Amino acid sequence: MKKIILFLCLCIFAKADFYDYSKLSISENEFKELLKISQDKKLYKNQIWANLLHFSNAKSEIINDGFFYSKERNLKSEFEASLYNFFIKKDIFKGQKEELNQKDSALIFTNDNDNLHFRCKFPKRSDFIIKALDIKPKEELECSDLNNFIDYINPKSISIVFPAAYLNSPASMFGHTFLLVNTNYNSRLLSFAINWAADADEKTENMLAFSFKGLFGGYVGKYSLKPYYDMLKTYKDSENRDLYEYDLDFSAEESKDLLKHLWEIKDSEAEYLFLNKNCSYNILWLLENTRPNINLRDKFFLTVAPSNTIQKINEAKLIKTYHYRASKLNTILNQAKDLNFADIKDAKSISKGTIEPKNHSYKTLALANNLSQYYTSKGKLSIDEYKDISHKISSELSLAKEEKLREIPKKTSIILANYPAKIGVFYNKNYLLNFRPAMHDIFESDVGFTKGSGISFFDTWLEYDKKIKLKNIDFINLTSLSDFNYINHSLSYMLKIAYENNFNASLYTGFSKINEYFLASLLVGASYDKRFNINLKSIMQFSLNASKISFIYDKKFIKNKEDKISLKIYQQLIKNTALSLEYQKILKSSEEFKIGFSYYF
Amino acid sequence: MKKILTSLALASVLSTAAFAGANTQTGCGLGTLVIKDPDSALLYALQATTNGTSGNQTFGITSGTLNCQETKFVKNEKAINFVNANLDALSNEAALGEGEYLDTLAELLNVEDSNKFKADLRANYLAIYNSSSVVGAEVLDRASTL
Repeated sequence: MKKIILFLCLCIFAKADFYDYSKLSISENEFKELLKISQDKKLYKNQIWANLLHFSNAKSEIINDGFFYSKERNLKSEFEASLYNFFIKKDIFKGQKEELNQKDSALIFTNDNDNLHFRCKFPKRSDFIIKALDIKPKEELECSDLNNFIDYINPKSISIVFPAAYLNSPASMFGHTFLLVNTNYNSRLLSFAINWAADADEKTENMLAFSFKGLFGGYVGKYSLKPYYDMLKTYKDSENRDLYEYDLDFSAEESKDLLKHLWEIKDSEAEYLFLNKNCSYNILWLLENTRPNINLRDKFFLTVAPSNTIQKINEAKLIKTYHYRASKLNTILNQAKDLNFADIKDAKSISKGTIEPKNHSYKTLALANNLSQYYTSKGKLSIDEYKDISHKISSELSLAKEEKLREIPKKTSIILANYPAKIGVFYNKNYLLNFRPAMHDIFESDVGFTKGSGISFFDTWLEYDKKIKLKNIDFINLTSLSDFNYINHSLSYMLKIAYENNFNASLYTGFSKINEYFLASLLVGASYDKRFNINLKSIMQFSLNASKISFIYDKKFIKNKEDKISLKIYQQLIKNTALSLEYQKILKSSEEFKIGFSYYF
Repeated sequence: MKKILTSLALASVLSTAAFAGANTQTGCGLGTLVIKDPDSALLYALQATTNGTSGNQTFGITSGTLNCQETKFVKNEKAINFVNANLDALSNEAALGEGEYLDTLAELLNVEDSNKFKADLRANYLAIYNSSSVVGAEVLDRASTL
């Protein structure tokens, strides 16, 4: 025991010696007194302080040195070191400068003199110290970099943006979110986007390594900031994803606070994990540090699905309203509704430069211009061809008689979608328990989802027949049925990897026609289930709001007697609850009738 | 082994091509689009999120269309950056005589009557966008003298 006490004393001495009080703008005694008050009040245990340091499970998630002032990097040691650095004289930094690589930035930071001071680098931590100890700093600081940054952006409000899944990529249903800092301008295009992303070089890294590291660790992520119009080029125009902009209930002062915290973590890094330490998770840190006590991060189960973060933010009453921004492809499809087949055909030819734009209507040329951009972003036209064609089209368009373009209807908010995790109880003479951590399949309600797209992980069925046994588990089930039309020629596909008595897998591809009420799909594929097989699958589905009836016919060419027909009826009760009825018959063999109730969370 | 195969398959389905090559055309004229590398079309089909950021750049307000030709009349940095980055959308909307990008430009230039501004841009399209190699600075200077 004595040894421990002695050791502790030594530690304290060692620590006390570490501080050079001559650097402070207050006396040693004043500092020690403040330190004592803060320790008596246990200020370092305050949740606000823990959030500012991104502490989770007793450890900061941030891994780079520049973020910390103490060696130990715990809440207490960081508070002490922060208090010390808070009072360091600004003269200490006079003439000092740390170089930054900022060649592509619209705003250049000098990163010198008092910009290197704790209070300029960590304005929110400083605010916390000032408020908690009820003190005033002894010296005024300029903090020119921080102030220029906030002035340049001039924040007024905050929104969070969810880009919806894009065509033929159910995996993107998992999605992405980023924040918008809205400025004093009315135009949303002039907002700035705060994005958190894995720091990886897409040009040099091997694809498999990407996947593996993304899922199991190996990348770090960091924040970036760019004009929203640049983000739109990627998400709306190139990837053809609809965007939902949710306006948050943050005042101008809170928006400024959010930027101040962004300033503190701007060059910080944290571990990237696709399922739960992803873009959306790290965006939540910014929100929690803007309005303490909203605790968003602890409301998730296993995964932090980006769409689900929007739903949880809504539950915390932070969302005021939303705006829908249609993708380039949806804009094109909407414009084409006003034209007949011959006009659409002409617009396509004009957009590819095979016929001249002269003597065509305003609406035809408007469509042609969008198509030409669309084809270029898909690599079907070269940039030089595009520039030439697009300039010709616009020149003619400016002379055509003006018509009113069709407005794009607003799509249903993703907030109304069922939550991603599901637990269900079913009965088929035995009791069945169904559990799925994420996320959606095409036989469930489409409200808030992209029709025909589904992805589920680890969909697990347990059966109780005197004892509990594993019936089957679908490791991954991926469905992408996309409407085949005059512009989009993407094939539909389905992929499943599962375990049912033994390991099995299947892959299908084919064509689909989809509208608001109806879906029809014809797919051919190959499967492996003890033996290899060639299959045909057809799906017919009728839906109205959150009700659905689906017929599925599966034909196996190598082992005929296993042809299967299924009927699935799905009825949502209230949000996050649903009744299902399923009938399945394997021809010349067994049949199963199943009824159940599911709850989404 | 099965487990490994499954996780590998899952991994590739989930995030293969999470960072597959999208190619942003930078420049100061028409054609500043984001183009997907056609070679990775199959990988894109499985793409999860475009989440890649690039290397060593420290935090800043990044944009791919800085360092373009200077304007003669307009001394409005935000307007210059906006026009250079969005010349394609602006060209399209100027020809239409309407749209969000034109409204934004009108706001950046403090135009009083934005409807007249849009109509003027359309009426003068051929003069403002006089060739397919026009650059942002020229467009902005001409638009500002309407």
